[in-house]
Amino acid sequence: MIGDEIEIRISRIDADVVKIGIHAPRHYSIYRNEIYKQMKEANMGAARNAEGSLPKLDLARKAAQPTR
Amino acid sequence: MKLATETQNNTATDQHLLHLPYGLIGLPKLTTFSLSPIENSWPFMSMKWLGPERMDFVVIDPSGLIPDYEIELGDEDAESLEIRSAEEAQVLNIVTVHSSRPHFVTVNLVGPVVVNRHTNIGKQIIILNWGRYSSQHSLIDQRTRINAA
Repeated sequence: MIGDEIEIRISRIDADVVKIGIHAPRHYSIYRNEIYKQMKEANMGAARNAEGSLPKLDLARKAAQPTR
Repeated sequence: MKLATETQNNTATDQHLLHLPYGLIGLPKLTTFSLSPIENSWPFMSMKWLGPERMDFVVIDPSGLIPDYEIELGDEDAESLEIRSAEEAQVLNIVTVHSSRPHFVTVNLVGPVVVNRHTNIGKQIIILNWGRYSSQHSLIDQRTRINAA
């Protein structure tokens, strides 16, 4: 247990892999809801549904390009 | 990138079909996408929704681009995607080109789209180590350069 609320359970040990489950009480979903909201807003802000070109992105020229 | 796809009519080697059964967070209907490079814009790729309306997303594969970016995938997410190792996962991060400030480009590091390379089934997940990164990590900020010019 971590503190009074978070319980870590080891659910499976298989070769080198240990599966760890973290069980947290419901109020942790408050954080989760905030983040979901943030993710939804980020997605909506990122969606491009209008015609229009991307701005010229300098990164393409500066970064080393992999050969294709 | 060539892949086995469900639709037989896609033979373009530059395209790549992805299926996200839960859609994107907040946009659950966007379940099927094609992924393709954007001409002259490496490393940016276009993830286009294959539905009736136009909905495109600019994405990047963060490998080699974002230093110290480590994704902690939750158990349930890994199992639902059948991903057991890093090699099986393709990671795509959604980029925002801020329309009010077009030289300001950020990438969402908190909610990557993780795709199983073999099945092409993916999910937008919230990484367990979300506190470490930003949903608006700055990729390019040319504003100061423009002002200085």
